[in-house]
Amino acid sequence: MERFFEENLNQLRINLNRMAELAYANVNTAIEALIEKDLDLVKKTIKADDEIDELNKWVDQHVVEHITLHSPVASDVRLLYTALKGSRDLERTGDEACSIAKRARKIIRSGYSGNLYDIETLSRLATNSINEAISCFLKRDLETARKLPSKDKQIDELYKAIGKQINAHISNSDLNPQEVPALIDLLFISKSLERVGDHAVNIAEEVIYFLTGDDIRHTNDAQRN
Amino acid sequence: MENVSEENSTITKQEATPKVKAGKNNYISVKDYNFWYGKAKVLHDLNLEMPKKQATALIGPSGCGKSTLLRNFNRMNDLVTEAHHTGDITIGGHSIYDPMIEVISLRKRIGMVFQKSNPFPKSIYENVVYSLRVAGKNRKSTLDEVAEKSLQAAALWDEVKDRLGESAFSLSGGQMQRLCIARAIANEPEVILMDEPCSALDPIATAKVEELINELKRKYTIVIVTHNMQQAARVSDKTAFFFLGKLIEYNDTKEIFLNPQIEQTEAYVSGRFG
Repeated sequence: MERFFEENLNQLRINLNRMAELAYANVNTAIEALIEKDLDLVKKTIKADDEIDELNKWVDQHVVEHITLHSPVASDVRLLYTALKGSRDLERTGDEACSIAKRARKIIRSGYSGNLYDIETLSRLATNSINEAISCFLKRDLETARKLPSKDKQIDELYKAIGKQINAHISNSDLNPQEVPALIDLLFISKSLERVGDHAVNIAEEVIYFLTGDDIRHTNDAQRN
Repeated sequence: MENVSEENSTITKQEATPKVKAGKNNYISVKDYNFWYGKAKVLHDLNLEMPKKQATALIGPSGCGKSTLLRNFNRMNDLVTEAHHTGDITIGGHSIYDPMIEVISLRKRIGMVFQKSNPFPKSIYENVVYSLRVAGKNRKSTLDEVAEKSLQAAALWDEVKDRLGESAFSLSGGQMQRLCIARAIANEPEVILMDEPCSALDPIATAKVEELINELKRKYTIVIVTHNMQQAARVSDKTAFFFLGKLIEYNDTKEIFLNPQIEQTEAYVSGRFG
């Protein structure tokens, strides 16, 4: 039997998907801005974050409304919990994209034309994780959701490797001191991407809770390393 | 009421031979229980244990057998011609079908509150002490004490203490239902059965009765039949979901409403049933 409020829950799924698409695209656009030295893409990323923020507010408001009006239970209440937490993770992912874009702008304006290390690879891994996490939610794919926390290890290791390389570069006596601010910005960009990976894992954990009722946070199943 | 079966039961040990020992925390046990109205089988092979001094909610669509089961706990269905059963129900370790048990004494142990409040056409005071009078207890000091204690336990004392002599019918619907609860409590029962006790009440009266159920379960074992899912979630510790006379799922209430294990339960509690 189709319940009269089913459409509300479908709209919630649609808007979460839209948030994920925007967050995914925004991280990619911010990284592209860095690589292509394109200030228009920086602007585009920052502007697009407004829509993610609006969707985040929409989700929060509709979850509260649904709880108030329909007293949801069982998988309905778990869906709402996942929507609330997941939209927060996607909103934070959008914020990380903005942060990347703003640091890319500083790097572009500084005239830095040196090594970008493996930031493009790190970005691809992190955005793929977000994509997989939201796909698990939409397709109710428990198996993939369970694998995501351990896949985050690859992201963490690459982030650490990039950090070591940048530190080594900064410690190098041949370094042009004018490059230091850009290198520090690159370090922060890699940190932002590592955080995007963490948000993807959070979403996967929330999806596992939605599908099974099991809270795996802070357990062996959630080991990311 | 810790050792209620020894202290407060009106059945002596000679009268009732326990067939099944109740578990440490379980008080009502339903064992391999089947029940028929004539040829129509309405309860199928039920097995469940209800904990002592907790509230157990029986939920399910109309006709699923929840009220039938409730009415078997105090053998109300004995009044139905051609009703019969197999299996057993024990309360406090005593079979309710033990031939040595008098049904009247069983019903003193097990109070019941119905969907529609049914006060006697008497004063508020006389309603509460009626069962004592029937038992031949007429000492005024005893009756006064029981009336006050029961009305206080039913959260009604403050509202009626100055009008105990007035007709019970002068009370509001919610007050009448709490008077019926006070009348049930006056017997010092072990178990209180509630058959949709709030279905005829407004939200304020419902909230008072629900609050009362939460208080009463400190002292009594409560079994409540309700069609109101939120009420079951609010007041009960355990929930049993029935469908077509079968027990589909029985678990802690929070599990039933947060993470039911059976698809039919999920469909029913979340309103997808039909």
